[in-house]
Amino acid sequence: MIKKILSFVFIVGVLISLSAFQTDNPAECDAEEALKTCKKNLTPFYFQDRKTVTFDYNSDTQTKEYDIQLFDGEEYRFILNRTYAPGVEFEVYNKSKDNKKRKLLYSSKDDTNKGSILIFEPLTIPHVYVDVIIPGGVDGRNQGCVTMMVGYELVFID
Amino acid sequence: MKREVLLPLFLVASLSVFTRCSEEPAKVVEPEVIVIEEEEIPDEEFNFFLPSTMQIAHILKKSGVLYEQGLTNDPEKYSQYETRAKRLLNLGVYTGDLAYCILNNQNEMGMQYVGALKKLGNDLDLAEVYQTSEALDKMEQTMSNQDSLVTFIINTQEKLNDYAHTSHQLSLLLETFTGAWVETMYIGANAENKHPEFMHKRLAEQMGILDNLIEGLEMTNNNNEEVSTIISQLIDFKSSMPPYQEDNFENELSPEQFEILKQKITSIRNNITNS
Repeated sequence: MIKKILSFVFIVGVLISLSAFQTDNPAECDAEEALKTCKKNLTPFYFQDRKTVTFDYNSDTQTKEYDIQLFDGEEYRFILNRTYAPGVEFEVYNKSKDNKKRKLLYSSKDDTNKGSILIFEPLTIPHVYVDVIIPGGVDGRNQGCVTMMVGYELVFID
Repeated sequence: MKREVLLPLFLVASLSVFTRCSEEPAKVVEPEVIVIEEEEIPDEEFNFFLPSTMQIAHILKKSGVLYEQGLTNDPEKYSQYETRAKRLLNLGVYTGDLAYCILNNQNEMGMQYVGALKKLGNDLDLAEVYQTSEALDKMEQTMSNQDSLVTFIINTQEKLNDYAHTSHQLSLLLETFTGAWVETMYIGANAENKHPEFMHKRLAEQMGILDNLIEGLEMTNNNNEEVSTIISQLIDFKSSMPPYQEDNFENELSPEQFEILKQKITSIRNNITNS
């Protein structure tokens, strides 16, 4: 009888381990939910464009860069959502990563908000470059995603 | 002994099946979308964000562009556009025209462009983007015409963006934006203007989009001849303009450069609209 109970417990243990491999981690990337959160935080700015970046964590730090053109005298809001990207940081520069003289305009590390949803309203310069910095060696996670959204202000004139 | 081996094996098999079955309800059934022969290009491959048509039109309006009847594309011409590329490009053109009408309080004309967009959207199987919901229709009835047109243009731009990403058809965004950008530049260059000196500067600023636009079109183009022609025209247009400086907002056009811009953009626009 004891043998039977032990073998049952053993089997259940094996199954739990197997099911952990079979099921995708639901918290890995819910892009739709991330998008909804971005939209909520965009108001009162109007939607301009968005991007969901899915990536694989690996042993090295990776940087992905995105160019946003801004127009003179206009106001913008960026929503940076890292809910599904543990360890990811954002940096915004005035020039691309090829330019050694570029200046850092924003860093999520310096943001007083340490949460997953970051809001940044840039000073208007012709172009800004958003760097998504994906750390290397994040334990227990294979994939992640960040969602970024840009909004603009629209004030009607006669 | 036999029972002791078989029982655990049976449990493994049945629980394993149970585990797999239990995953099924968690799967989200995506609505059926028509994916038109396009190689899937991940979102992150496009290393740029597109501007908004409404915003560009608004910037040109602030620079003194006046309303000029007959300058925009005829909304009745939608039925002439028979290929997917032409329809997408002219969906953009009509969006640019609608923005121009809204910003100049030409609401009656604006409603004609809403009609053209809905019909062209239908022809492209994009009815879900361009048909307004019953709830929105009711909301629109309580607003002034301009407000309802603004709501329409903003909502459809957002819905088109969602649709293009969900169905992995980023060419939808690139081609419609190209049509809208060309039309807005065409209007800016050709319409009467209160402050031509501001307009030269604003049009020069717009040239900062061209590199990304050409790159995006090249990435999504699936050997389509019409799109290839537009890409060639945009490359030629870019090479005929002074180099864009991304360090400051001091980009300018001389009167001669403005005339070249006007001639080139009119030619590209007329190719798109069959004018």
